[in-house]
Amino acid sequence: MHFKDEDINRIITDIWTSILGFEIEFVHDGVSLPKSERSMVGCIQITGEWQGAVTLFCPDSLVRKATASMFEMPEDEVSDDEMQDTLGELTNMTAGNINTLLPTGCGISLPTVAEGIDYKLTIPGGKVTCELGFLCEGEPMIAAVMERV
Amino acid sequence: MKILVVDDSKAMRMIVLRTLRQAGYGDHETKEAADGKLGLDIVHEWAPDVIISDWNMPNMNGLEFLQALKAEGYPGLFGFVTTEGSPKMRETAMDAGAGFLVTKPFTAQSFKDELGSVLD
Repeated sequence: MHFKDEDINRIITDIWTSILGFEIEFVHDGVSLPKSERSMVGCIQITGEWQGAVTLFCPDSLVRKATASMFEMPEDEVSDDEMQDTLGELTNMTAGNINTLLPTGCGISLPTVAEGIDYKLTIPGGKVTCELGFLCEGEPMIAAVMERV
Repeated sequence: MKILVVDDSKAMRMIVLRTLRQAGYGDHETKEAADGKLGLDIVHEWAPDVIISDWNMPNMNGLEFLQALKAEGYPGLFGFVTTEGSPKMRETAMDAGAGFLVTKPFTAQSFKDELGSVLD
């Protein structure tokens, strides 16, 4: 399955602007997250005729901003649970919209969220088929689609 | 009017409630539930006029929730707010008795379009 960059870009941009009101721009050359800083990843598995996963990698600080916006509270008052919930839901929306590009009948899982410093997420037997970098409120964010082959 | 918002994500329930306010429906009474099972309990004790529910939830998903409500003869408006809006899902939702299906991300206008006939 080949995903067009413009389709993934449109989905991500639409979610982060309409739900959060954030400024977001696609970075053609890609972005990287600081390896020495804490980051979070949201993951949704897709099963059916096409199998794989949709992931969103964000610095801790960007998830905190998004959570503060979603919960309408100051950044220093958001909890870890609320941050996990927020990133899970942003990933859920992304995967749900990407699912509309796939063959009918594919189902999406409930979200999983992991966090830490300098980690790697893999799907055994899978490969990254699409990876886009963004700057969101000046912070890097990576959306990746992995396909199980 | 009484509006019940059902979603396993508290963040999304907050967004739905905020969008209801932006759509001009902030004066209505609201309650929240984290899945269909908890939603059903609230329906029994509170009898909401409108239910806005996610589809993909643990314990009892949105479709099972709707089917349980219809089996009990729930007379109010039930709509899905969900990440997936494929034609097949829409057909399944409408066949089960849903009044609308709004896909995430959504806008205040999409809420007005679907809820206006009941809440305006």
